[in-house]
Amino acid sequence: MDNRIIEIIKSFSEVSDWSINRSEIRNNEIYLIQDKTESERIVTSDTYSVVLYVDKEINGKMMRGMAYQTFSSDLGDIEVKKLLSDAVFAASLGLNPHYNLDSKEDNDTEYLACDMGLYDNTENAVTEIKEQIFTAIENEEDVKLASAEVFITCSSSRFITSRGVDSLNKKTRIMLEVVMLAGEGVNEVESSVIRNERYLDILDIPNLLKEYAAHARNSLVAELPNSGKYDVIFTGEALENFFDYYISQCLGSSAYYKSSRFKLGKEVVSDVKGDRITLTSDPSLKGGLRTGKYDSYGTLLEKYVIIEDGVFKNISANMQYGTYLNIPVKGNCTNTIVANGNRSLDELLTENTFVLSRFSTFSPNGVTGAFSGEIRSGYKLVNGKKHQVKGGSVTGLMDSAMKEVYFSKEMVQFGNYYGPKYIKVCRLDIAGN
Amino acid sequence: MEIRELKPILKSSILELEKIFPYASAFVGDLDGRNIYAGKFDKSVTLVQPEKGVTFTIHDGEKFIERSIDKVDANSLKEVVSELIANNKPADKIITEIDPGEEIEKDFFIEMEKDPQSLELKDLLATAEEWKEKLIRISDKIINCGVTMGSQRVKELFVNRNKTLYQEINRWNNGFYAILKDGDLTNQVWDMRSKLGGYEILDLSEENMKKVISDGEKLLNADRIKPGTYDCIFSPAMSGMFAHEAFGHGTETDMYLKNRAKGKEYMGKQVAAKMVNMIDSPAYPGEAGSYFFDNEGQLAADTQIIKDGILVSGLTDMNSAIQLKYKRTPNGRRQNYAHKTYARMTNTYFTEGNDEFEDMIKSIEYGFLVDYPTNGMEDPKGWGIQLEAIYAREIKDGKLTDNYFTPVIVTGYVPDLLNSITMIGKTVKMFGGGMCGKGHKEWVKVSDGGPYMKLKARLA
Repeated sequence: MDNRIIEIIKSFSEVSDWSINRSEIRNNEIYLIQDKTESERIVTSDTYSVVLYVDKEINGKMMRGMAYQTFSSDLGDIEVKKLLSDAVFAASLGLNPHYNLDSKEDNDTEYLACDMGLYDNTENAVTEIKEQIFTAIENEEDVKLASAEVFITCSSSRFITSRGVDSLNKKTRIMLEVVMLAGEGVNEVESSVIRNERYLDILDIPNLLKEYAAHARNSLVAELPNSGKYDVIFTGEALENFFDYYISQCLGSSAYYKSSRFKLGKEVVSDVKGDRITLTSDPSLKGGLRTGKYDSYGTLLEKYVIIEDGVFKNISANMQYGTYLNIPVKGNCTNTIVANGNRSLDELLTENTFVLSRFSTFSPNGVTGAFSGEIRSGYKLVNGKKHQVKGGSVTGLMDSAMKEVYFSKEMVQFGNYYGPKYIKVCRLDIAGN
Repeated sequence: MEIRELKPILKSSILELEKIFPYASAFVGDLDGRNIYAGKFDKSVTLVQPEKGVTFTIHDGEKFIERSIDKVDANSLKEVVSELIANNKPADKIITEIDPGEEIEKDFFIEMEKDPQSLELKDLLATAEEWKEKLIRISDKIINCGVTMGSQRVKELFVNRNKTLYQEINRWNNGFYAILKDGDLTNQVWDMRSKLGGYEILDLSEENMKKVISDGEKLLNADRIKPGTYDCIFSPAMSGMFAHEAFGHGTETDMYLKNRAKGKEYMGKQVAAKMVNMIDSPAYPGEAGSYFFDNEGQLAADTQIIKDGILVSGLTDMNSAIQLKYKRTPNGRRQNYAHKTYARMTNTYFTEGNDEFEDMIKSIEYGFLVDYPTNGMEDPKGWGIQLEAIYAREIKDGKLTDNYFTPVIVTGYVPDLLNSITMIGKTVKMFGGGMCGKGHKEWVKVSDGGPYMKLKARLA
């Protein structure tokens, strides 16, 4: 079947390079409202995603265009030829400076992204997760289930390129959304968690729901914080996008488009008083959402340091931008690994410090580094006691905020992040009362 | 195969399924399109990745069961129907009964003067490159920029025992962005637009590009605002985001069913100042979130959400309307055939008032004009609000000053903000450049808008 597509691609003389990703996906979904099942769904697909590259010499300079095409595996030859012909034409118009696909390379590293227990027994796993949710909520006082959604996605794919890469892989992914309620009537509050993981044990539903049930109860007594400048410890889901600005600034595309402020070999933040950041890309993190062996250019992905002790060491570049910038190609940043510090939470948590774990959204701007988030869950330490807060906002700019930052020695893994469980940023603006 | 040709086989499949199950329906989606990008450093011609497939829905008397596949040939459809029959059985007791609606068979098409699919890609790319050159020439502070244009063609077919509905919709979109730099200071501005129609609604102008870049330049040296509660004027774009994020999500009645929205307790009650009216309508002519029928076969119509400050209606999908005994509104939407239906917004907006913009400015002793919204997040249960924008211009003694602030975040309690509205402009503007998610997924095309509005808000 795959050879049929390869032969059709080869019939286009204009195509210089190509890649094919054949992907079979099965998605089992369940939707719960309180203790009832609202809906059960099964979604299957079997598709080819083809990328075609067309080279042309323009004014003595070699240029390359590329175009994608995705189609169902059961399409006949005539339909496939028509779709790929459209892609060849599109690629021949969008010409940019030339780059190559990467050549075939291999290693012995394991790239673990498939929970085989889930993969082999998906339908039972959906039922098991449903029971785990009900049990976890039953074990929590004063908290009830509003709704839940569970998606289990199992995929099997084959990635082939014109440069000899031929890689098979299986992946699993669990999407869990659980909404809990605490309180009664007009005082009722909710606590919701959305988490994506590849392994059921990393998701750890009982402990995850215990944590969010506590958020629900805390929300009942939480108050709007007072405005002012405070030290803030970020934790929980607030860490998910915390390093987005750094990752964006370190990309080859940002360097090529001149939108990066970071200079290779220089400190990413000057006059640092606290911990210096070490940030690594690790495509082989077990269960990482971005765990995978090859990128779409056929580059074999391996672990590499991007920022070390606060100094920008490697631009995170794929084949296209690595070629343009004439730098080593290591692939874009995959899973984000941040080195821990040497202080525990107890040591970081000083008087009048906020610990904030949930925001409406918290995603620093990749170009400017500006961030802001409406506070959904957290507390402030006052006279050694936790005063719950919600509402109001925390704002800042990453370049100035990171001048005095401390990383905890406790580590945590979720999504594509493995790093300090607590990050203390000094003197941030909180807007509230 | 054109999905319109599937009507007979889907009808017979539904009748076969309804021999066993109390209700069945089928939805087929087929999306494709093309996008052009001309940037300062690169360009591309992208074929929109097709999304073509079918979902069969059965209701067993207690719950919905759906099966979606990416194949639309007759054999695959028959296999799915057989699979649904083999793997499921009706509930012992019918708890929920579903009304299939009145009998109707109709095809709907939007009118286009210039079908984008009929235009040569190289001509579209050349047009985008011309606009990109005009954009670059506007300011030497532009370090990167690009112009995009493209279209998406959506074909949808809904079939149940009484309804056979087919629609073809074309969305045209164009826009531009620029990254500006002055020394170490960087900023990003953009203007993205989307409407229903063809190439004839291309909406790029040098005048608008110059205004957006000029505003971006002013923000390069702008400070952050001193946190506090201020008199504000929301621009029409900001009013739109306010309508959508702050209140619209909270009236999606699947959230009522889950006890996830405070709006349920406020139906028929005052939630906003008396002058405030808010509507959601997929029947709004030409807007990005418009369609002829929703993904559960409900024909498009206006839904007034707030009337004279009172919350009068939610936005329903089929399940929540049945369970809550609410009027069905045309808001049952899927991201595509492979996704579930939820109650979703379409084109959501505050209606016009009687105030002139100049009078609003004059009425403020100290405050801010807030514009260029970037994103927002709903909180239907807590009615907390988070709206982010990149532009706040100072108003002092009834006049706009040349003091600018960026970025700015609006937080607060939704009814407080809605009740603080004291002036509403005369002209509604709609904005269709964005997509809307349910939480952090389930993306659908929407637009939002409103007039200039004066209100009190906490800014930081």
